[in-house]
Amino acid sequence: MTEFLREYGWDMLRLLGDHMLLTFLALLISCAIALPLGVILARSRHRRLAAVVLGIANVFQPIPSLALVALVGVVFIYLDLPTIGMLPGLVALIAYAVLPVLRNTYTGLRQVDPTIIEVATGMGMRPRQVLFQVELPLALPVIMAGIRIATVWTIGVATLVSLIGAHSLGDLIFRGLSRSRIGLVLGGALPAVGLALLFDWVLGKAEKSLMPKGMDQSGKASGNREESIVAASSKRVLVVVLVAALLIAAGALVAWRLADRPDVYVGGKDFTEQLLLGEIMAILVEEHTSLSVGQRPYLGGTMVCFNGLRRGDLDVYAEYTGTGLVNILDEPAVGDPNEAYRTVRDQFAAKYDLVWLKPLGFNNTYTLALRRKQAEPLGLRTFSDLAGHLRSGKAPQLTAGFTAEFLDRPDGYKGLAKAHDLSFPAEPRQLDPGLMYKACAEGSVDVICAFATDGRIAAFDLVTLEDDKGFFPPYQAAPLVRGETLRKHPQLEAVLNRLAGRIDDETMRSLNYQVDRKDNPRRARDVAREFLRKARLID
Amino acid sequence: MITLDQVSKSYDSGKTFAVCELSLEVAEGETLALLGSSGCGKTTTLKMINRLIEPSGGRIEIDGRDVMKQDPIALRRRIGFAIQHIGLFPHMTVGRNVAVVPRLLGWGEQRIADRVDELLTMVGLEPGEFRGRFPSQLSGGQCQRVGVARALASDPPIVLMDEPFGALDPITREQLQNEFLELESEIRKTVLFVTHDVFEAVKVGDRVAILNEGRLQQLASPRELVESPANEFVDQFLGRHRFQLSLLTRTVGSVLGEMEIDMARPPAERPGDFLSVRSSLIEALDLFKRSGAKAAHAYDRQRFVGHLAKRQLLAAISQVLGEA
Repeated sequence: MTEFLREYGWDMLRLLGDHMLLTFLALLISCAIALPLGVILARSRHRRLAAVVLGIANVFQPIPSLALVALVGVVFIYLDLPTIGMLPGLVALIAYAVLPVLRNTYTGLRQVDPTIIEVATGMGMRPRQVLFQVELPLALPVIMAGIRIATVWTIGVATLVSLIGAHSLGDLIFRGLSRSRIGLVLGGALPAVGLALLFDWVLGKAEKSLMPKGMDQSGKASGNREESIVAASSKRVLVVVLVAALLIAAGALVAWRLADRPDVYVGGKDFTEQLLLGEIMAILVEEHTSLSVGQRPYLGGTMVCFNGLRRGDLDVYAEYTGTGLVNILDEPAVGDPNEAYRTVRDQFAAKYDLVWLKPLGFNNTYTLALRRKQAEPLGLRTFSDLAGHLRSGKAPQLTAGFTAEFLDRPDGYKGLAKAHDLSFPAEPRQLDPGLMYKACAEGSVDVICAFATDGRIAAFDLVTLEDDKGFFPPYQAAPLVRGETLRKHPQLEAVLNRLAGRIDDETMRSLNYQVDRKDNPRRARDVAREFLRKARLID
Repeated sequence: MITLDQVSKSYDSGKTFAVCELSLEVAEGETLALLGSSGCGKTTTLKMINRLIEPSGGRIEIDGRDVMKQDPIALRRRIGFAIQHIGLFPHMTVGRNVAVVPRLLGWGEQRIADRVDELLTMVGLEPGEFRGRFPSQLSGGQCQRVGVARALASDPPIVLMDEPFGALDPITREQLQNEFLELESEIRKTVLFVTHDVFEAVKVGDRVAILNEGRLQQLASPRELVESPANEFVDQFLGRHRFQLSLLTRTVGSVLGEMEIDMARPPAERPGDFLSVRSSLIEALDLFKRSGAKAAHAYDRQRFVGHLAKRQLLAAISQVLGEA
């Protein structure tokens, strides 16, 4: 526990601050939008207008929050706005928080007894006076309930915007999830829960102090006339001052954050290998150039990184040729690694002005793995060796366990079996990806599918077989850089190309393992620095 | 003075009328009761006067000025307004409720505070005890008193009341009606009083206007209404309570007026049991039943006007019986 706090305490504190800032801004802006809109709708004679607007707001609600976060990214590409960072995160949160506030403002106002409004009007109040002196005070409990709902939601959804590079407690959660480190997950989740409870409590207090006393059935009769008048106005002043102060502080913080754009942003997707490659590239650039470097790790997938790169929210991240070919260019997979690399290099340059630098060396593709103790005596080094052994029917009879995805994909087991004439005596078992390596190490199964650079291959002392017929498409990793960034900082190309061919499968696997292992895991930055030193890429 | 001239209200551009070509006048200081069953147009008529509802045709004047040509906000602030479902603002104290219109008019704090206390006293609520309370802490009758005080807050010459005692139990209602009559005889406002209760109408109204389906059926003093209904509808509306209504529309004052007044021996102080000149014959009967006395003291407010003997009362009732 203390060790955990020493290692991540500062991160937690910083991310908690980011989380609060994000939540506060999202709520403030949502209220600034939803409160006036709710008032306009509730007072509008056009009932249909209210139905349409609330309908539109309702549309956002059933969208899973994760999908909404992704949706904002897609919309922002079309609008040519940043797809990574605080702004898209904030917009996603606002889209979520507007509805409860809007709906409750509308309902709260519509629930006010029409007789009361008529009396107020009949006594000579102007519409604005009716609104502020009668309708809003009476609707306040319902409106506050809406704000409290929005707050709790926002704090929850704010953990997800980590995936588009807006810092929040979600950073810790996703880091923990990808590395199966429950401590990190809790380190992000528990403060978020605490924050939700805290905000709810504060709003509850605020609600009580703002609430008209007569609404509270237990309100004590107070004979003091001055008290009710003076106290209400001074309380209002206090609230206004408090909100203004928070607003200025938040504004300053955001301005500072936005002004703080480094020369080079290094990005990465949400798994350990990408984190390591990001650290390696960042350290290299810092050591060999005078450029300032910022990191945006743990982005939620290929499209977030790719779009961020196109938009200029990122300058470089490590991409895989197979992913570029299939997921981004939407082309069929190519077996030959060089051909695959040439295709993405040429097409990315022409279509997107993005530059593929030289491959780093390793190929993070699907492969098959066995226990070293079993593979070496049998002399199994390639897929063909394995197929031969299976066909010969010699002992031992090998069993297989694959993930559901690998069993299902046409370019997974089915294609592999056909291409290599591979068939196991018993039908392969379906295994959970988290348990598969352990199952193999313990001998429950003999052959598993694996990603070539997965740290657990080293951790469980497994070996991988060579895909000697090139069945699986190549997934060579290489730095992918914006053309514009390279023109602005041409020195980047040579610096990053120092990594060309320096990280092979074995090396990458070992680096991943050092971060992922259960016992004494190391920080990615330390592992990256140590690698660079040993490889004499930095001093 | 309020003048309605051929006033109509239609919600479907002339196919049907909520109020149809209604003409009437409420004189300065008069209380006019607008009587009819629900949907007869009486509330619509009331709300057209302070422009909560805009008339479709005709003219409404207050002291000779067309209300449609006045700023509705300013107009409303000059007219007191009290309604049935109490309509107190639940989030404001009694004091704040009463102070609404003075505040809108921008009175000074001290003037408002003094006026609030004065009004609460006037409607029988001790200011120190009640001004800081919230409506949820009051009984129905207390709420209605606050409602009346609020309507009178800025001392408007005209007061519109829409069934102000409608939601009360019969005993409280009668008590508030009596208090209202006392108050009205002091402050002499021009009052338009909407009610569906014929007993209330003949009791509080100097004159009664009876409406049906948006049209005026009869406009007369309570006694005239009861004794000579203008048409079948009015006759039906008064129904089987004719005799009771007759007793209700005759006041102690009218009996005393016809009799020789015995001015002898005015008591030193107003006793607990006394009659007002505005008390009805029914109330006089009640008093004799209660006290068992042979005669009762009659007052016009604080002024002693004479004795009413039980025998005189019974004679007057026999006369009504003969007429009916």
